[in-house]
This record gives sequence, C-alpha cells and structure tokens, in this order.
Amino acid sequence: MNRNLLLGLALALLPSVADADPVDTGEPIPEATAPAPVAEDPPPFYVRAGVAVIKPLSTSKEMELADVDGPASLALHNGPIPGSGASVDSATVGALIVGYRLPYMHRRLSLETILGLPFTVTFKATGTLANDSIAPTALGIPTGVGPLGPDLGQASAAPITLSLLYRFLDGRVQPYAGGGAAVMFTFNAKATNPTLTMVSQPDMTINPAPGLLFQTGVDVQLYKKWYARLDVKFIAFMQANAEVHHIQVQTPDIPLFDTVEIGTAKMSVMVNPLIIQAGIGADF
Amino acid sequence: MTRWIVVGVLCAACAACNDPVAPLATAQPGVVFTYPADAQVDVPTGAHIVVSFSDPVEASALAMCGGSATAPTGGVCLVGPNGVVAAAATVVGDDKKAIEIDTQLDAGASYALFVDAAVAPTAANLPASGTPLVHFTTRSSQPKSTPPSLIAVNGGDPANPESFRPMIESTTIELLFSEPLDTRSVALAPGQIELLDSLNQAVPATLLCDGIHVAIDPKTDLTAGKMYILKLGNKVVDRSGQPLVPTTVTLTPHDSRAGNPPIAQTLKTRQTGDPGSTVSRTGLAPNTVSISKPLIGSQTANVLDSELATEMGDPKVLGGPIAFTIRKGARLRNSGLEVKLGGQIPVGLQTGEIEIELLTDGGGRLFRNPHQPAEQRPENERAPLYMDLSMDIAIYAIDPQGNAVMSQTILGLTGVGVVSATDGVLDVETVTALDLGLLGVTSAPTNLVLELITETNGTGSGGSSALAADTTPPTLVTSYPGQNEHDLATDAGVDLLFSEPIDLDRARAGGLKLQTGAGVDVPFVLESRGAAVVLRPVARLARGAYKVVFTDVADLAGNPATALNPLNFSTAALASTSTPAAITGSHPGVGCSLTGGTMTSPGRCVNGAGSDDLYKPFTLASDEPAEVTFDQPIVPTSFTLGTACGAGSVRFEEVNAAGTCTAAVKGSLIVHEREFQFIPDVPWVAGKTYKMTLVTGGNANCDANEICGSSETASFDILHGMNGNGEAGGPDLVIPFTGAAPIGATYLMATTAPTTDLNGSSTVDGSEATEDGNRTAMHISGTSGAVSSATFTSGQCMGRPSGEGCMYINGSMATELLPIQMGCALPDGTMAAVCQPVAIAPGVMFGTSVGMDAVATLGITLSTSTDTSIMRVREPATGPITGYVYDDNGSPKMMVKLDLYMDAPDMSITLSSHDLHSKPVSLMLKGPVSFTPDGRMSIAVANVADVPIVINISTTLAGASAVTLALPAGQMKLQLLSVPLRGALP
Repeated sequence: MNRNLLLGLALALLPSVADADPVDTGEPIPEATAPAPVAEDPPPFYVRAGVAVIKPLSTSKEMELADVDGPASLALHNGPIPGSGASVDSATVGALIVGYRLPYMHRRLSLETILGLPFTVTFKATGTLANDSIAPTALGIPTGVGPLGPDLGQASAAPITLSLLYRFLDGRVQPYAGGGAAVMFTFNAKATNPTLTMVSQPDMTINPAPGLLFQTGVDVQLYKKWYARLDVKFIAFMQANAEVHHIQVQTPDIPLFDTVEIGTAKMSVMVNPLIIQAGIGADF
Repeated sequence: MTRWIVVGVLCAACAACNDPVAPLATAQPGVVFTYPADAQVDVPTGAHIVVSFSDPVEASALAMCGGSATAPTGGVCLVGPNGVVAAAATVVGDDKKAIEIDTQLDAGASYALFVDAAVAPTAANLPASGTPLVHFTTRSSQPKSTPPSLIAVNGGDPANPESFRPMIESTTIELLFSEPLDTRSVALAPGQIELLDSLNQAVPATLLCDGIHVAIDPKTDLTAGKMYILKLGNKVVDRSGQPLVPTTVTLTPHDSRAGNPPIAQTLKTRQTGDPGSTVSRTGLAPNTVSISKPLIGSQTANVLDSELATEMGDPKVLGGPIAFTIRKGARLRNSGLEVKLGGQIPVGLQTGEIEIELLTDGGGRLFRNPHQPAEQRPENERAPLYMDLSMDIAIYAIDPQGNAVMSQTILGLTGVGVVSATDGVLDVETVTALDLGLLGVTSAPTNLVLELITETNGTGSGGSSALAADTTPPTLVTSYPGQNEHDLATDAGVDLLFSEPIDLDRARAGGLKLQTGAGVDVPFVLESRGAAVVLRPVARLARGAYKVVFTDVADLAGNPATALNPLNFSTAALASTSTPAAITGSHPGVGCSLTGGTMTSPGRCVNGAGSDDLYKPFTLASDEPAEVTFDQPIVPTSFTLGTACGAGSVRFEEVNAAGTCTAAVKGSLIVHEREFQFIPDVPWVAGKTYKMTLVTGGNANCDANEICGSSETASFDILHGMNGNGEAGGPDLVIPFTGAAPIGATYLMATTAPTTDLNGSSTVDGSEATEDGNRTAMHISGTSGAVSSATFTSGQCMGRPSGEGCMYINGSMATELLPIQMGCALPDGTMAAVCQPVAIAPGVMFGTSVGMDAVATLGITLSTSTDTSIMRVREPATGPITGYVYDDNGSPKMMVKLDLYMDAPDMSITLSSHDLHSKPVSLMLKGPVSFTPDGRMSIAVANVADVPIVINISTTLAGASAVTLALPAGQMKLQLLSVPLRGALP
C-alpha cells in the first residue's frame, strides 16, 4: 500500500514540471520572439471527454504456483501449470483527456494524459486453468477440486498515461501522433473465482504495470474551440503480474483435510491494451 | 497546480484501498502427539513414553517426579497403581519439542500421564492442572490364577469393540486376553473360537495365537455393513488348564470403499535425501529398532530401504478418517545385529539382515489430530494428522544362525504416529513398542520407530509402483528335534525353521502332517513363530517314533518349497525304574529336604554330614518365577496347587516370622514333562517371607496330593539313598524364601542336555543312548592300604581309553545372568576387562552308576558300583556361586569354580564302608558359550585340570584303604542348554 501511496504522491508532483509556464516564470513568451506574425496560437489546455474502449491484446504465461507445501503438495507442486493461462477482459469507460500544448513549435507539441474514474479489469482463466482441475488427485485420491471456470479475479485499475503528441496540421482537422509511457495501477484486487474464494478471500495483489504508449488520432474542430476527437492508443510491453496469496480450497472428496491452503498463484499477463477513445472537448 | 494535486491525491487514496487479506486462523500451539495414545491398552512395560509439542519445551521445568497422584510434580510424570512413578523425563529430538520417559512400568496397570503447563507455556490444549493428558494400560502377559477372559477387541472394550479402532472390511480381528492361552486349545472350531457370518456360517480365516494375543485374519475381506459374530468358547484354556469365560462379540465392519476399488499407494521407508520431514516429530530416531536389555545391552538396528504396498479406502465414507490396508506378506528390511552379552561380549552371533513380514492384513486409519478440536484442519506443525497402525508380524533373519535365534511372531502390535504432508509426500512417523524375544531366555523392551513416506510421481496421482515379486521359495533351515533325534519331550512341539514365513493356511490344510512312525496322523495346532512354525500336538505324545511329512509348503507369495524329506524323530524312550524322581534344580532353594535351620540359614540337606555348609537364605526376585526341575518325567496330575494353607502337593504360602502359613499365594502352576513353574498373580514382594512346599507323603505310594515321578512318589531325601524300594517318599521339601527386588538379571534354568539318563534311574538303561556332552571320565590313579588295584567295569566314555569309568550327569542350574561388569577377577586369578557374571543357585547333579572292581588283600575282588552319585553345589562363604562369561580372544567363554559335595549314598562295598559322603570336590570349569543350530544358548564347560578324588575305604578285615580317582582335565563335561526357543511348551 505504501508503495502505491508514494506513486500517487509522485504523480501529484508531476504537474510542477508541466507548469513550467512562461506566465508563471516571467520569462519571455516564445511566441513573442517569433520573427513573423502567424495565426493565433491555440489555447494551451484542452480537454476531450468521451468514451474509451480498452481492448487488451493480452497474452499470458502459464500460471505458476509457489510456496506449495503441506497437504497441497500432495496434489500440486511449485511451478507452471501446463496449459494454463489468463487473460484480461475488455472494458469501456468514460475518460477525460487533458492536454497541454507546449509553448514550442506553434504549440504543435502537447503533453496529455487521461483522467478518468477507475475502471474494473477482469482476469479470466484460460486453457487448463479454466477447464481442468488444478488438483484432481492427491496421492491418487480424487480431491473433488473442480475446474476453476473462467473467472479468476478483478481489480480496479487506474491507468496513468503521459504522452507527447505532435500535431501535423493546424487547421480544422488536426491529425496527431505521439508516444509516451503508461502505468496501470490497480487496487481493490480480489479473486472472484468461486473455487478460490469458497473457503476464504485470498490476498490478491497486482503490481503496477508499466508500458510504452503509442498514440495517434485526430482532432476535428466542430465550432470555435470545440473539437471532436478520435484517439487510438496502444500500450506495449505492459505486463501485469498478479499474485494470489493464501489460497484455500475445499477438498470435498477428502473431508479429512476439508480445506487446504495451496500457497501462491502467480499470473503474468501481457496486457498490451489497445485504447480507442472518442470524445469531444474544448481548448481553453 | 491545485487541480493536479487533487488528481494525485485521488490516485494515492485509491492505492491505499489495496489491503491484503489475512490468512485463516491456525491451530493453537500445544501437544501434537503422545505415545501411548489415549485409552491404549496392552502397552508393553518397556515402552518409551513420548509427548511431542508444536514448539520447543522448557527443559528446566522437568525434574524427578514426585508429589501426589492428583498433583504430581516434575513436569511430565506418570501416575500408576503405586502413585507417582519416580522417573525424570528428558527432552529429546533435534528441535527440542519432544519429551520422553524411559522407565519400566508395572504389568497390567493403568497409568495416567500428566503434563505441567510450565513445560510448554504456549500450549493451549493441555488439560487443566491435575487432569491427565492421556490414560493407558500396560500389558500383562503373566499367567493368572483366575480363568482367562477376553479383555480387548481391536484395542477396545469387547462390549464396545469400536471404541479404540474402528473395523473395516480388511481388518484383522485382534483379540487380547487377560493371560496367556494354551495354544493347543486355540483353533477355529466350535467351542473354541468361531467367526460366523450373518447366516451362522463359519468365515474362513487364518488364526494366529501367541500368549495373550489371538489374531483372526479372514481369508477374504469381510462384507461391509454385515454383522459378524465372534464366539469364544470354554474349550479355550489358559496354560494351567482353566477354561475361558465364554464370550460373544458382535462385529460389523465399516464400509471403507463405497464400492470403489482400493486406491493403490506405496509406502516406503524414508531414506536420506528423500522428501519429507527432516526432523523427527516424535523425538525418536526414525526407522530404528531399539532394543534395550541388560542381557545384550542397548542395540539399534536400522530399518532399511523397503516398500509396502498399501490400499487406501475411499476418503469420504468414514466422514474424515481414511482407512488403509497393508496386505500380509509385506516386508520391511532391517540391518542386522551383532549380539553381544551386556552389549560388550561378542558371542559370535550376527543375525544378518533382519526381516519384518506382516503375517496378517495390517492397517489402520489416518485421522485428525485428537489433541486439537475436531474441526481443526490438519497442519503439519500444530495439528499433524494422526495414524494408527495394527500389525501382526514375523521377525526373522537371513543368516541361518541369526534366524534360529531371532525368529518369532509378535501379534497385536499397535503403532501410533503423526503424519505430515510435505514435499509432495505423506510422511508417517509411527511409534510401536514390543517385547522382542531374546536368545530364547528373555524378552527385551523394543521400540520400533517407522518413518514411511508415500511415493509420488510429482503430479498428485500418487505412487503405486509395482513392487518386486517374491520368487524365492522357502527352505527348511533347521528343526528341533533334528533328523533322527530321539529325546523329544512328550509335551514339546516340533519346531521347523524355514528361511521365511510360510503360508499357514496351506500347511494347516494338510501341507504339513505330524504322524506316528506308522503313518497315523497326530492332531496338532500349527503355531506361527516368525519364519518358523511349531507343530504342537494337542495331546502329549506317546513314547515312540514320529515324523513330519511335508506335502505342501509355500511362502506367503505362493512359492512352493522344493520337496522335503520327512523329518523322523522320536520321543524319549523310558525304561521303567524304581528310582524316585528327584529335583535337579530349584528356584528358589535347593532340591533336598532341609534340616538344621537357624535364624540365619534355612539349614542343610537332610542326611548330609553335620559339618555341611549351611545354605544362605533363599531369595526370589519379584520378576522371576518359581521353578523346579526333575531328573525324570513327572505325573502332571500329581501337582496340585494349594489354594489354602496346608493344601495341595505344591504349596506357595505367605508365612509369618514363625514360619507359619498365613495365606496361600495365588498364582498359576504350569506343569511340564520334567518341571513346573509357579507364577504368582502378584509379584513377590521384596522383604516378604514365603514358603514353598512340595509334598511326597512320606512313603512310596503315589497318593492324592503327592508329587509323583514315573513310578512312585518323588524323593527329596536324596542323601538317604535313591536306589531300591523304599527310597521314595520321605520328608517334604520345604523351602523358605524371601521376596527380593529385581536386580536386572536374566533368569534362566539351564539344564544339562542332551541327557543320557532319561529316566533318572542313575543307570544307563538299554534304551538310553549315551550322550557325550554331560559326563565325566574317571580313571584310577592309585590305591593304598588293603586295596592293591582297582578297575572300572562299567565302560568308558566315548573316545576314552578302556579301563576308565564314565559317569553321565543329569542336572539343572538356576542361573541369573547379571548386568555386565567391568574389570573382573576370574576364578583362576586372571582378569578380564569386561565380563557378565552368572549367579548360579546351589543345585544338584546326579551321576549314573559306575561299576568298579577293587582287588583287596588275599586277592579278593570287591565288586561295587557307585549307584546314584550326587553332586551338590556349595555356596562360597563370600556370596553366591558366580561364573563369568568373558571375551576370550574373540570367543565368549564361561569360567566358574564349583565346589561340590560328592555323595554316593547307595554305594555299598562288601564288609566295608566308604567316605563318599559329603566329600568336598573342587572343579575349575571353563568352556565356550555358543548357540545351537536351533537357536538354544549353550554353555559347554569342562574341568581345566585333573581332579583327584580319594575314596577312603575302611574294611572290617583289612583296615583302611583308599582308591584314588582322577577326573582328567577336560573330561568332566557339562553342557547347559536353554530350553528350545519355540518348540518347548511355554
């Protein structure tokens, strides 16, 4: 928790860099030094509110088990579960793009980020993890532990992005492209699988997942300072590492044990989300 | 900038929502294991008491136990029938989590184990102060005066046979009786033992009996849910012939499989590097067989790499516990033992690898830790699983000699253990205590700690690797009697020692037959004795020829033995004799009627010289039986145990200071062909005075309540004469004795064997074969006075020159093998670094008659014979007669100096008298200690120097004369043998 808190505070400090504004510093405005009069520069800030569809192009490694000991070791062992996998579901969320045109290059460069309410990401089991029991027998004795099914867990996600854009044109249609970095912070992570939660709620953690952001899109002027935007982002190399600790499962066919703690499950999902966002907004 | 700060704080706040979820609450720390288990019965008296905890214990809280029975002090203490057991518990185990009490418990007693909270301050499952943690009851294998009764079924009360260990389809029914049964009366037959199904049909089963234990292993698994009836009838008797209290027990096996086939699982002994717990949770060294007995010191064998095929039941049907079965034939290999007396003196006996084989279907349950709440799920540290294990085993050795000594069956083993699931295996650690028969002379407290792990292929599918099939057929190693032996006791069984246990069912179905020489079948019961079987005739054998016919002998795996020739033997042929039976060995006391008692001595033998040594007061250790041996067969029915003062022909009485009987001692009288034993119900009380009386009635007529030999009443007035009519009867044998505390000795009535004078007639009768092991050669070394020469006329010993005489010796010596001693002064003046002292009771040996012609003055030849020669062992003034077993350059030897009184009360020389009465003779005897092929301990000693004996003869006509005899060095041989290990009737 402390780590996430520190990250939050760090992010809060980020704007101090973006606020390196001539107005604030008293330094000469670059435009004032322009040798020739040009068209009026757009306002420095802009927002675009709309809907973003987050479509993970996810791939995953096999789920790995760790800290398997005790009765669980009779049925499981540390290491990957062959044929298992996990994925992240798509999400559609409301999102607000906030940008700041840098006072350079006729404000064609801008920094922008996405502000939005945290959204829910859902982890799904795939392959043998979903369809086969991970512990069908212990010492040859059926355990009664069934397949997990599709649900694994979910978490609230707050993706933080920061991208640098360049607008190719200044007119009504302003195509742009850029890149940056993104980190997906999650909280309220919890396992939702009935098998994994039947005995108790295990402790699920997801590490912040950084990635490289590639962005393109177009702003179309609707009226004066009002614009419509279609934006496409692709975050590459965003690997979400989730761990579920203290998993306890019931062994209905072995009442001698009744419940067994099976240790830690580790999922590593390459999320690589494609974020398509449409919205409208204004410059100011 | 303010708006950016808001965003950041929001993110931080959301991050703070990600609290971890705490794991489930775990079990409370405390006791995780005890041995014995609560309510366990039949706990061997030498069992180590163990309490294990989940956390290290406070060693400083342990001390010598004291206090009261309700509030013992000392940390971990036992309270038994006599209050708090004065013993100190010790911390054991590498992780200091276990406590052990190593003490000798009383037999047949209830004990409570108390644990003080100070020992384990964190323990949350200890009972309240003053409340015991567990109760248990120790084994009582001594005969009793009361009728035998069934006291436990599968470890539980017969009225509630499920109370200790529930029964499933494959359970071998384990019966526990109040005292040892006569195996000849134990068989699956009406009136004896019947296992009937619900249709009142007998259930085919394999029956084993040994002492207080009977095991019934149905040949096919019983049907779950069906009721079975176990009937025990009064044809079953104890060793003194008292009938069993008839009992009926209803049994209904639980369904352990729910219609599914059993789940195969292989258990293997955990070896170094195998997965599993690295620390013993019982505090005891795992996979060890620890034997501790002064006779052999402390020895440990290791359980070697072995595998047991196990069948596990359906884990759901018993509501939690999982039943398992280990089928008969499963084996555990163990390292061998080098037997050393006192743990120091090698006796040249190495057992070779020792095998433990299940003789019946064994098994038990896995269940939750009983020291934690029932709902507590298993946890390795604080709530490990429990296992109980019931087995009937054969113990035998690969080495033939070791096999002969070790082979034995042990029934009703109850193991208790903890089970951890770790590293992909179930790691089972069980503790089992047993009484291991030792060298045929005693039993040793033995603790078997087994650590078994399940085999796994790493996928959770378990391991059930096919075990190597046994394809080795059994072979006959040796037998007692051996081929063509001729002196088997009529009440003895035939001991056949094989290389491995054989299939009893096939043998009982006609695979082994005991027949007369003419081929008539002789009824017998077949006893299992490890790799040996004993064909025990249900009635005493007649005197004559017999044979064992082998028609179908196979091991438990079905491998048939190669064809075996019949074993021919005979019982001892007895010529009729008018010589009365006499006592060779008496424990306590001496085999002669006494006279001249004083305040400090019970007296001396009647009709001995007035100057004879007075015997020292007789004592009997509380853990030893009274035992008397005779020189000829006795009539069992003439031995009637007195149950009131002055009653019966055999009387054991408590006496007051005046020697007057105050009460008859209750106990069991067990009469064999040539001896009887009396085992009191209550051990002899140290310091208490008793009296043993054997009644002859004063004349030769064998009346009621008089002890009779083969033809007439016995004689205890041996110095009055033994030969001729009228010598039988005479004064009773009255032996006063005092109870004594045990001294850690091993008691052994050693008997001269083989015997020449089988009928005790003091002559070598025509039907008697001369045996060279117990005899003395004699030659005439000189004469004087009126006797000019003398020659023996009765024949020389085997291999000796003609002209010598040969006297065959018949005797017994009650001995006590004492604890090992360092720095021993041997009787010949030399020193031994270490020795085992052997205390020898002042017994009596009888010699056969030797004929002699003496040529006297005028050439008159005086022909005479010694008739019965009597050699009475004298006690040294300094203490008991003591021999020493010591290491003589790698071979064990015994050395003893025997001072004897020699008598020939019946020797008569015409017109002369002689002085062969209470004539002192000294012998220095030395010889090897070894083991016979059938496992009996043998002490074969001989005189180390010539022994002169001067017989002074006073003739009426010619005055004094003398004949000097000499016993040449090495020619007085005594071979003392322990009783046959398995064949002798217990």
